[in-house]
Amino acid sequence: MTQWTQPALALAHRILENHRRRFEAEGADAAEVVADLHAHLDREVERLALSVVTEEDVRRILAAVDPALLDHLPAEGTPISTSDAEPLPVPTSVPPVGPASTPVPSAAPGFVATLFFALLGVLLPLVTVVFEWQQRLCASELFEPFPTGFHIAAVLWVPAAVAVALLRLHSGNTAASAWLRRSVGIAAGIAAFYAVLLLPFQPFAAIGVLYFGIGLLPMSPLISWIVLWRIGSRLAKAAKAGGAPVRRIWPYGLAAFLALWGAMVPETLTQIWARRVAAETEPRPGAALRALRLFGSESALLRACYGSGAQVQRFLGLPTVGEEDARAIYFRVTGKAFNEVRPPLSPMKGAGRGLFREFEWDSDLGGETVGGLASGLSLQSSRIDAMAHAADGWGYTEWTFEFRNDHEGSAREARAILQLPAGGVVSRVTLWVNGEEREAAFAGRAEVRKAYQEVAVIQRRDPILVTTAGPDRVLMQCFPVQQGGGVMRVRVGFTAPLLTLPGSQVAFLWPRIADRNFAVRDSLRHHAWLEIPDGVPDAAVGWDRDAERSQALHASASQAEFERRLSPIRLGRVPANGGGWVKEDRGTEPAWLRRTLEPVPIRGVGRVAVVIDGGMRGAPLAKVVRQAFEKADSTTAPGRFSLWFARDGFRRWPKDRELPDASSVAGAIASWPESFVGGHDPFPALEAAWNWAAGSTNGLVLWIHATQPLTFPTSAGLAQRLERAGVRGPRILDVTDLAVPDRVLESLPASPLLQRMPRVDSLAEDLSRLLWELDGSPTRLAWKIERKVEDPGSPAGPQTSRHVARLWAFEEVHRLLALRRKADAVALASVWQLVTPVTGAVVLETKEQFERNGLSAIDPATAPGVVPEPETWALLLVGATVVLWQAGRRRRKG
Amino acid sequence: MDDFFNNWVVQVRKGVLEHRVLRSLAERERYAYELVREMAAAPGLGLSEGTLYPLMSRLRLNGLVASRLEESTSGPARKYYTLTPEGRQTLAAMDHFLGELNRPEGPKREGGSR
Repeated sequence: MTQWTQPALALAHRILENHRRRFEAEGADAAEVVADLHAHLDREVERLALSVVTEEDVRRILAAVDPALLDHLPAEGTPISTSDAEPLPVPTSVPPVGPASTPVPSAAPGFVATLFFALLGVLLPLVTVVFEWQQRLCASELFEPFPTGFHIAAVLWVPAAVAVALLRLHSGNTAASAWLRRSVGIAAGIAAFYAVLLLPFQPFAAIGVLYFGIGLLPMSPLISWIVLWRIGSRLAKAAKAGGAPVRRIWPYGLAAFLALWGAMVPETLTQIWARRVAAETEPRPGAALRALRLFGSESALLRACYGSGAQVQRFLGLPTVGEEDARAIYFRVTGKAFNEVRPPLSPMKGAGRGLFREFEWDSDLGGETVGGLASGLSLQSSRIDAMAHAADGWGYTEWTFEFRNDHEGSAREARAILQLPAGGVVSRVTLWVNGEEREAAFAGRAEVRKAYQEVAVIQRRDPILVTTAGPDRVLMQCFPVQQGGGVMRVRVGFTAPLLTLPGSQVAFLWPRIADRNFAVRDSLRHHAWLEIPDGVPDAAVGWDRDAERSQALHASASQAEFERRLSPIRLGRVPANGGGWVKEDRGTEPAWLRRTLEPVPIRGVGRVAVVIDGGMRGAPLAKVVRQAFEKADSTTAPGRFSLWFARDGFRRWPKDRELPDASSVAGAIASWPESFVGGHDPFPALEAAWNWAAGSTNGLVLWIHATQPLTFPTSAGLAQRLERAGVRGPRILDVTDLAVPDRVLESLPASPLLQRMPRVDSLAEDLSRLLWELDGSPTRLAWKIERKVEDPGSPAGPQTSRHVARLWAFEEVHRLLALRRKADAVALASVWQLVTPVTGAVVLETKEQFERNGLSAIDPATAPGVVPEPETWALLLVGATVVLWQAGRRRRKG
Repeated sequence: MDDFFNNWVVQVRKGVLEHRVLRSLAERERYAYELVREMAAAPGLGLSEGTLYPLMSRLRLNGLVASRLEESTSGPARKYYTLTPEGRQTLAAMDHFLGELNRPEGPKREGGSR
């Protein structure tokens, strides 16, 4: 780097200024010529690669430029006679060395100023960013300062620009650094953006600093802006002194300022539209919903679902869309449940407390919905132990969950909707307290929920609650999974009938998680084990047979495999002579019960209304349905079928026309002219379809849908019809591809007319089987319960498990409910320890808690288990004998 | 005779110099330092670099050339000269006049066409 000696600088100045008049006399602009000659001098110094420029160098170079320049040179110290002599220009090199007696005027700040600039313009912004990164104070109390990575980069630009500018000012190498001035301008725009955002809080911060010595961080942007303004001025001065043009830098600042506001435009518009949608009452979409579907920001809507975002509205004190409304709108716009996707963590989630301070408040705690994903909460282990008995037609499954909470600050409630096999009923709930198993109390639904809320939410002790959530589904919730790595272990056991298949076959179905508020890690494996004491199961996809025990199958599956690949287990043909007897001695009238598989005539199905989800995720389902209907060979009857789409209200297609057969339904689906978009309230379509199907006896509504995470006030009409219909009215058969959140059936009253289609094979195959049963089969196999009341002694034949009695009790509860005998239903479900639409199960931590809530935990000896109950041993012996006999027969044949 | 000739050469150089500068700028925009060094090095002109800066300033004041500054990463801002439309017309007139002047039968008319 070149350094000029002070005498050299003074000489150059003296020489050039000496010729001003001559230049003017020649008709030139003297100032321009002097500046040009200065620049020429600099270029020559650069070309000659001089490290130090002395007086001799100046003379030599200027003599080469024009020898006349050195003529009539006044002596040193003589004032130059030109009246408009310019101040001594500063060359582009560093300050002079050597015998200089006076320093060259410099733009570099002094030591104290530099220290202040460094502290306030570099250190303070950095400390502010790190503090916010760690504590998320601004994000949790005021607004999210870093909604995107772009904002983080912008904020870090400020200290970087100040630091570089200070270094350049002190090195003296600034004259040509227009980019440096631009960078300072940009940084000033960024600082101004945050200063404006924090402007309302400045008085409080100032008071805090003055009286308490705290509160400097909110002032950081304003202070940085002042520092940048001062540094910008110094850079301009340096550039001017160096002869460089000084262009305005405020446009760069303005551009940065506007860019940061511009980054908020999508979120701001999304909020405005969402507010309008929330105010709409018509099911048909208004302009705001259409705008959201076309241009809305999904991430902004997701933030609104968790009560964050909307910086501009919050800054201006305008109302924002509520969480519940946002969740509904998120579904209507995207067709997805908001808790399906990862919560919108700040880009600063990487480390520190930031990760764990997201969404501290769980607004769904103790409620009846699964709600948003709780950060830090995950499923640590999952174990499923099951036993099935083909002859009696029951399966019993115990699913043990271990939840872990890595959140640092808050205990969490784990919530999940479990999809049980069709006709399944929860018959055992267990909680581990200090390593010991505690069994549940079974009582009225309201009683157990009240006890749970008091013990869990208010006292924050350990309970678990299980209640039904529509047909074949239960909501499980347990609290508190303690923060900082706390683990909670719970078990849910349920009894379910085996599914009957054509050819006297039965199948064991697995439960699924239909909705959850916890993460399932990629590394998690569901360990499943099935014992079939009275038979050898067929091989099934994803299952391994134990070499030592042919009556057992086991599998270890990831969450994705568990959801999609683990197939049901077919247990082969069921013996015609039925299962064993069990005594029902807990009800009001003791009796002996036995389950047998019998062909029952299929009642001719009347009108069939096909209702398809018109939402975004309905498109692939519609395709599968079309294929299944194309293949079906249904009876042709005028007005047999109708097709409906749940889309912004409902659409019947073809308009007001009935369809004679299945293939015409397929054709109508193929010709559906509208797109599948967003998510929709299905009740208007279901109600219209139900009304149409009610025009014949034994009508059927096939409701084919994807995720339905919302309840809608429009359910009242259909709920009334179901309640008034009792057992006589069109059935609503709920069809989904996977186990997905479904609050539609959940929000309807318990009714035998509401059923879920059991899923055995692919959706297309299951639908084909259903359509075949509609018309192609005169009878189907069904489990019947034989009940003997008059015989006080034991009937002839083996005795079997109490699961048979539990399944009878579950059916009986529904029968009693249909007869509006709720008290009897509650009593029966409670003595048989079942979770039904009118009862629930709760495990509390201590005996006192049970007593205070008027509950009593069941005797552990009466709880079912995957270890066979005493009555089952006799049956097992029979089963083992059958297996041995069959094996011996095969050997003799061989 | 030598004195007379030398004096004549000086006069011719003065007259030709502006034409040379405009001609050079007509080809392309030029960086001042480069232009000055190029003119100073041109054989026959015998000019010093220092003489050219006032000349360039004069041409700019007369509206024949325009200058602009461009930031440089390695030193002071660079000054670039370019010919203005007016300068282009003047150059054309100069070319025409010199062409006529060199015709064996002499120029058809006196003066330029500006």
